[in-house]
Amino acid sequence: MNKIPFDVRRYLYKQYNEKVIFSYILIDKIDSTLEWSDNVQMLYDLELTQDLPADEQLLFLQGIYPYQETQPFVLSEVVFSSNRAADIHIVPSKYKLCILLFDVTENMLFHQELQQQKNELKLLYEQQKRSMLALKDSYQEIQRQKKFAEHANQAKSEFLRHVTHDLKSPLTGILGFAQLLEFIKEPLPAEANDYIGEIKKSGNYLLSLINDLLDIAKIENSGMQINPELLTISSLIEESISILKPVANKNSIAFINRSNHNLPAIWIDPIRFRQILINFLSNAIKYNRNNGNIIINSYLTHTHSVRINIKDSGCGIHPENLHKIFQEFERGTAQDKEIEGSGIGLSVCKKLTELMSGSVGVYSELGIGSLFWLEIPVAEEQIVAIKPSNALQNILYISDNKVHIYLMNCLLEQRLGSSFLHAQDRQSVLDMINTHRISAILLDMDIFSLNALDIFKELKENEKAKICR
Amino acid sequence: MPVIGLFNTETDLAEIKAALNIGFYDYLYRPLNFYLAMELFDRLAVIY
Repeated sequence: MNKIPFDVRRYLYKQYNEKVIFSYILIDKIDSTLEWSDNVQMLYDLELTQDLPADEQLLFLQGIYPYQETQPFVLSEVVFSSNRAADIHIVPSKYKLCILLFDVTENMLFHQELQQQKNELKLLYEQQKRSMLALKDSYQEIQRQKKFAEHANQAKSEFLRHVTHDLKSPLTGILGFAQLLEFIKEPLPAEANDYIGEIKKSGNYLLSLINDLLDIAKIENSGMQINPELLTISSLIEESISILKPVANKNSIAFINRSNHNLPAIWIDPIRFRQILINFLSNAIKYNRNNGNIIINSYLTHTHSVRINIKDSGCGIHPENLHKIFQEFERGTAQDKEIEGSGIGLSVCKKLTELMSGSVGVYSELGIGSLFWLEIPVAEEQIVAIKPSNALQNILYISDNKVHIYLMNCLLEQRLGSSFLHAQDRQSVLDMINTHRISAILLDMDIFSLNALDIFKELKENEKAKICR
Repeated sequence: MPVIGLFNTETDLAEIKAALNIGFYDYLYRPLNFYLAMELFDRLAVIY
């Protein structure tokens, strides 16, 4: 490095930082001898020798660099046969011509890579642009299809409305005349009475179907008018039960009404609400077994909604069909074909409930029965008056599994706010019952140390004995 | 005092039905479905 004249070194430090590898070739201006750094040959494959005149060895400079120049001259990114690149600075000094080679191979490769990435990015951008245009086209197509579907749906609803209306008029005539036939004074043959009964039955079924279709058409056309009133529901439940009691009696199905009569008022359209209840109850009769029962509960939920549960003891709904039970024309049970129904009723119920800001749902177990529920939020002005709901006090959990006990404790105390007791053997069960007022018992049927059914029987005996005392 | 049976999901339905017939108030499956349990306790809170 010391061989390089000071003014050239100063130039060098101004141009590049120290990290750049540099090599040098110095040409003595007086005797044309050459000096070079060791790495010149290694890096650039330059065959330098003192035996040849410097001018011949540096042919590549001829025509590019006029020797008489007094200012530094730079050749950028010259690539050598070794595939290494250098910025060549030709810096004239007083006695020497300094050729400085700054290795920029890494820099060049980096730039090449950058350029490649830039090209790839450009390509990607073009592809994205094309995708965006395709997406835009698809979106426009979807919008067009959506509009078309909406028009078609509106047209369908309009068609339904007209057709059902037109069907209803002659049906009124059929049903009316069938009723008149029953009032004829002359006694009709027994067969004729059966025929009239069948006409009325089929006519009424058709009428309910038409009414459901009309409702669907009205709801879909936003033409359904709901006239909400602030009402309590207990009388509506009783009315609906009494309407359907004769049908239930025919199949020896019992109604068990466990509704709470002190529920707060809710905003409902009484006609539509009764329609929903009757629909749920009719289904509970239709899909029930002979000598079955229908349990109706109504209560206030933790979320300040009035909830009605209608639980039947029928065949239940297959889990695969459960999620689509409230869709139009979907029916849930395997025996559907034997039971009359179009699959519209529940869809109407759901839509009507939603119009009253409520929700509906179902739980079901195959072979055990189904529980349909309906929830309507309590009117805001009523919420203030609601006392905090009484959670069940002292629920006794009988189990000998520590993990289950812990889980149940978390569920009952922390989530439901009920107090929790547990027992794991016969004696502790009896002690708990005799020393606490228990509201309900959860009995683990897989208890290892005891027979669960024996415990149940003992509990019942104990209860009877208490009542007798 | 209502007694609720806690059954495994694999339990034969006939066994559950038999329990309901001898006077179990209702049944739940283990692991518990929280919403079903809440619904059952809500219902019990109204009745008892």
